Amino acid sequence: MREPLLFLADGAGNEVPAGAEATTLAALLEAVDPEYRDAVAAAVAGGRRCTMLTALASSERALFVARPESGGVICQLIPLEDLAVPPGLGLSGVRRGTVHDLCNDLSAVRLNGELALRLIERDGGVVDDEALGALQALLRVTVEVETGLRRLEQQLDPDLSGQTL
Amino acid sequence: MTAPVLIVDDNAEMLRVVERVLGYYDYAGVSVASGEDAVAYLDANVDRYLCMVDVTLPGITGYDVLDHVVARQHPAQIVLMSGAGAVGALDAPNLLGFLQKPFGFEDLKALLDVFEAG
Repeated sequence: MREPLLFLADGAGNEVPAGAEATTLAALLEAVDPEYRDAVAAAVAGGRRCTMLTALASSERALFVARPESGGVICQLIPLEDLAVPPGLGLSGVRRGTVHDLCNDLSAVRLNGELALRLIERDGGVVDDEALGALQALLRVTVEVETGLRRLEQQLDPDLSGQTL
Repeated sequence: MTAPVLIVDDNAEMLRVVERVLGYYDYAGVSVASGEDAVAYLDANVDRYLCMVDVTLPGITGYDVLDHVVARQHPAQIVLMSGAGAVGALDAPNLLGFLQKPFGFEDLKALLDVFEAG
């Protein structure tokens, strides 16, 4: 079973309790990979919290990184503006390429998520091949985002290397 | 279908998803992965169309592409894309706007509307 590594929150950074939204998310993800459905279902059964897929369309400021650890899920809010680091702000330890790659990945996550939602809504809830392609891309890129976040985290604070966010 | 939009980015996923989003709005996307290819396309296609260029490219950068268009008085309209956030203050005749990465649907649509209104 795959872990639900990362979901975007809504623009205000609010967590959304697992429930009907998570069930919808599970149904959508099932079309992509049954293992993702199982992961979301496990999160619901365990009383954990996750964000709903519709939040992808309005996400402006925050990511949730959810990572199972000793029976729980750790979530942390990361303001996106902190990731789009303007040059000359004193973050000399951050390689520009890392932030650049991360911003590309975050763009791809948002655009693929929004595109999938709009296509599904347009087609009355049907996940056609185009929406499926966007969802597959969304899931593929989230892995890249987490890798980028971990790399950035280590560069900002080497003491945090290897620890959860 | 409206005029094609040239997308210039060395990130393959960005090219794919921006092209898909443009398709959602009935725009045809033409994707190239380097500034060199962008300049070649611009030189071969002298018309007023939208050109979305990533600032950070290996070799010819987004700034260079903008300079090229300005120097040749090309009618293309340039949108610079970057995660660095410092190019918003730029001013050039062909510069239509700036997309701060990470950007979403509405950000892109707003620039398409500005382009159409121009």
